[in-house]
Amino acid sequence: MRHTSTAGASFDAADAHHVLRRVGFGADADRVERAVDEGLDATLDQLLGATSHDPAETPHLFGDGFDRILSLGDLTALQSRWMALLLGNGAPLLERVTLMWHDHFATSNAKVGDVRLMHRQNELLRDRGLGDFRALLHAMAKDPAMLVWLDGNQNRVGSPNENFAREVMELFGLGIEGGYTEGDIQEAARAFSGWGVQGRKFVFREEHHDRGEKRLFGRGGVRSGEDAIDRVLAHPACPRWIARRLLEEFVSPEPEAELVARHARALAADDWHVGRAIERIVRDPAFLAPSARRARIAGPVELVARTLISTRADVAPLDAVRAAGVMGQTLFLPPSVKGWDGGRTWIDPGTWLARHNWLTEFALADGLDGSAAFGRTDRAGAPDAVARVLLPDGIDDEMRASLERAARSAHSDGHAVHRVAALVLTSPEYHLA
Amino acid sequence: MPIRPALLAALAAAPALAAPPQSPTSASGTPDALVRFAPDSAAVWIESRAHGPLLEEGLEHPAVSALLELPGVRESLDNPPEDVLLAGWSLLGADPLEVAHDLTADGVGVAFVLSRRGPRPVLVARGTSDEDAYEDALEAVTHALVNIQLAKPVSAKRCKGLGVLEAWSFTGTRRAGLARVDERTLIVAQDPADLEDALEHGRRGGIPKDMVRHLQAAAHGEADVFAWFDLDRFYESGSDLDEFSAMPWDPGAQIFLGPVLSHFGGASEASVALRLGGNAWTAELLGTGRARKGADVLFPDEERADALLQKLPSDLAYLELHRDVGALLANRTDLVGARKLPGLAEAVGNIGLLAGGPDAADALIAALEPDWTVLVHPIEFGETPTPDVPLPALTLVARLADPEKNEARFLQAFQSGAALIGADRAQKGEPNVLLGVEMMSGIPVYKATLDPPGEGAAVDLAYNLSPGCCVIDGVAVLGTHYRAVRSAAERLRGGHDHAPKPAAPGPRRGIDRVAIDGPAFTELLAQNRELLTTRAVLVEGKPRDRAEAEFDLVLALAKRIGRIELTTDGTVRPARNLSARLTVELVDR
Repeated sequence: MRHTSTAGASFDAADAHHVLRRVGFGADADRVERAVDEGLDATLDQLLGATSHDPAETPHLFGDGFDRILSLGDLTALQSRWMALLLGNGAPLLERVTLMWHDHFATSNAKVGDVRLMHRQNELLRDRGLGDFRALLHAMAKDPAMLVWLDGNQNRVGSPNENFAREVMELFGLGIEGGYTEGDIQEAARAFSGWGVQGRKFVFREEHHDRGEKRLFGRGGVRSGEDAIDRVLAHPACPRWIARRLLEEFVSPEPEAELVARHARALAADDWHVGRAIERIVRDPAFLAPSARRARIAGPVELVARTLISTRADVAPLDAVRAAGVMGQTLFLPPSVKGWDGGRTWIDPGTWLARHNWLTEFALADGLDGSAAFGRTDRAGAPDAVARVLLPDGIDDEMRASLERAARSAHSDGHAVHRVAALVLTSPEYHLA
Repeated sequence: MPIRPALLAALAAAPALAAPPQSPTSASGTPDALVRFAPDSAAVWIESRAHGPLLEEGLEHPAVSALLELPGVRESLDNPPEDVLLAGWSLLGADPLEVAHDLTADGVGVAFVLSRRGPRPVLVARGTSDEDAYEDALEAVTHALVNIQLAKPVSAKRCKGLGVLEAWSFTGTRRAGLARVDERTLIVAQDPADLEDALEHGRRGGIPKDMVRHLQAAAHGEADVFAWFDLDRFYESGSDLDEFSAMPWDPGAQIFLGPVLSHFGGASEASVALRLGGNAWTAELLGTGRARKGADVLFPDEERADALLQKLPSDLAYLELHRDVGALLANRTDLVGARKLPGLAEAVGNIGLLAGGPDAADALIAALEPDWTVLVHPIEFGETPTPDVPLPALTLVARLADPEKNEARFLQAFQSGAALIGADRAQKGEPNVLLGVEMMSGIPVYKATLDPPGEGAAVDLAYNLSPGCCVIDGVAVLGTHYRAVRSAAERLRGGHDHAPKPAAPGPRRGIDRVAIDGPAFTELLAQNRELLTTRAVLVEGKPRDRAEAEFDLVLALAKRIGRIELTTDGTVRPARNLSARLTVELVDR
């Protein structure tokens, strides 16, 4: 059934899936049906409006109880909490954006070694990730976990440490082709000298700060770290870099230059508000264009979360974290300051095998409740019932024939559903987001 | 009735192993044990004689009613036990517990034969000597099975020569069934080959010879439940026991579990004999098999020094351990698996950083004599901030070889280690490590403490660590909290009148001894209820009410424990002969 949105465009189950998959981490059959009934605008309104969690629903993830768990210094608790928030699906856009910024401002507990700092950074991304990007960048620059990660404590006058300054330009603000020079990095490093951490808090050690004037991008007038960040934000490459990052996440891994430029201008003109920028993107025709469908390879966290959410599976959050880890993405442990390379690099022989094994085991051995996920069906109906939930864009004749063969050779109707689900979950199509 | 008389009877027949097969008549005429019906190919044999009172009293049995009263137990059952019994009654036309009792009154055993499709059980049950009661019970069961078309009677002649009086076959293809082999012994098997093997074995009347020593030990301990495992068969069958079988070559297992428990992984056979006394439960573990050349350096000599300290009531746990880490390092190429050697080398290298070079690491480790005492007891924080999750302190006490040379090396390593940790923390802007020393009766006690956290900041787990060390009369003391080190040093000095006392004459001192105080452990558990249940919810994904119910069940069980003691002993040459005894002393609620 197709419905017409207020903008006049039709909106069917495949569209609804795309929206729910891109803005969040997918949805089960009921949510998709509701989205189709309510139309595109209402669905987007709901997704864009759900920007916070209700602690009353999951009290163990908030407050003193969780804070005490952090005293154990156990990273798995932190990973579980995040996965539980993801799987709870109460604020899907918020969690998708938090995951995106975790990759953008990649910080690993492997070096930080302090789950409280990692938790605080994670909450910072959640609190500010949908707001003013300028405030987010300023906050991240003073985030204790980031300062430990990029050796902020070692940056002092006369012996500047360039790690943070380099990443502010190369990764966080401008991009590798952002038009800055080695000299700019050195000057910015001087500006950040004296920034450090003491007792899990940002500290400015004036005695270690280089008080001289610094020249950034050919202009003087920079004295402090804050000035340097403002200068980065004022660079024309910055809105382009951030708009591109958002378009890569929500539209396509290689957005067109015109699209990037248009959304960059809008971002800068709209007080750098990330939430509103995302709204413009998802209401842009490019978002629902055929070229945007299944255009990205789903990252492991996204893949695992989507699978569990869409099939209503009851899997312990830590098991989901571990599954994603085996596939190449462990929360709070990005491989480098660049984050995860993503895109095609998500798939190599090892990670494909990991995906295949976990999804097959999930479908056949442990985790999947066929009736809960796909409704009651017999073996003849299994291919359509499973595809409707997992691959709503449709399946080609060759795949349909494979699914029907698998269903026919199953020893029962229930087994048929599980076999078909295993084939769909391990099909290349399913791994595209 | 304990298992002992039956086992002793079985052992009396054991010499028949080497003798030519006995005739069915002579075998059946021998007072025997159920184990003689275990198929030759069995990898596991479990036998119980502790179930009689349970079946006699049913839900009224104190242990059963106590179990059902525990929080969450009834809720976790799919059906109330009363309903299950009623259903059984309606199926059998008799009290199912009474039927089960009459069929198994004189013992029940189950053997498992390993196969590619999983273990296949063979059940052997010996019933009551009350002939009428036995006949009624057997009839109730076989009638019910026939009525629901699960089995049908077959001619016992089909098992000619195997001493079968009556037989029933399960319905379906290639299914075995029930065979009554004497007036009150029943064998149930799923696979015809297993049934035939059991009957043939019963006819010969022998006991698997590898099991004899284990049976002797169980009989000596008057076991209520006995379980025997042919580990070689498990390994051959490709069972997932790689980590277990690799333990004797794993330095981590050797150090944490000790020489005896780690070498269980290399045993050919192992057994557990449980004795369920009124106020104490005992599990005797026995491991036998091939000798392991070279590994005997990890085991103590016959002549051993007394323990350095005695257990105090205030100790949450007290451990006497034998860990010859020096011998392990000196013989690492023989005693450590190739895959574990790099990790060991790295660990020694890290210790070398503290001790002043790789050679110094080996020397420092070798200087620690192998008889260790480890004390675990709660800390009264106050001098240092109380952590959000307070943990008890661990203190290691061990004699130093050549103390004049090694004392300085030991103290130096402690200070270097604390300084390195301090440097790492400073890098991250974490509260600093302060090195200090305090004098105790002329003995310097070195300590490292953390700067207090900022006001309102969390007091992390790290604040459980305020390590300390000292050397007193050639004995090194190293602990996670300097107050515990001070207390151990005072005990060594006899300041609390707890100096070592001459060992009382008695049996040879075992290799390891671990004693845990139940109430203190339970209190620690109870203090962390909220923390542990929240963790179960968060990490394991359990619903809160289930996590709480499970925790309360564990807590309720823990409250019944007065004391736990584990002792180990054994050798690996000239043959592997390992034993461990776990005793759980119970207290009334």
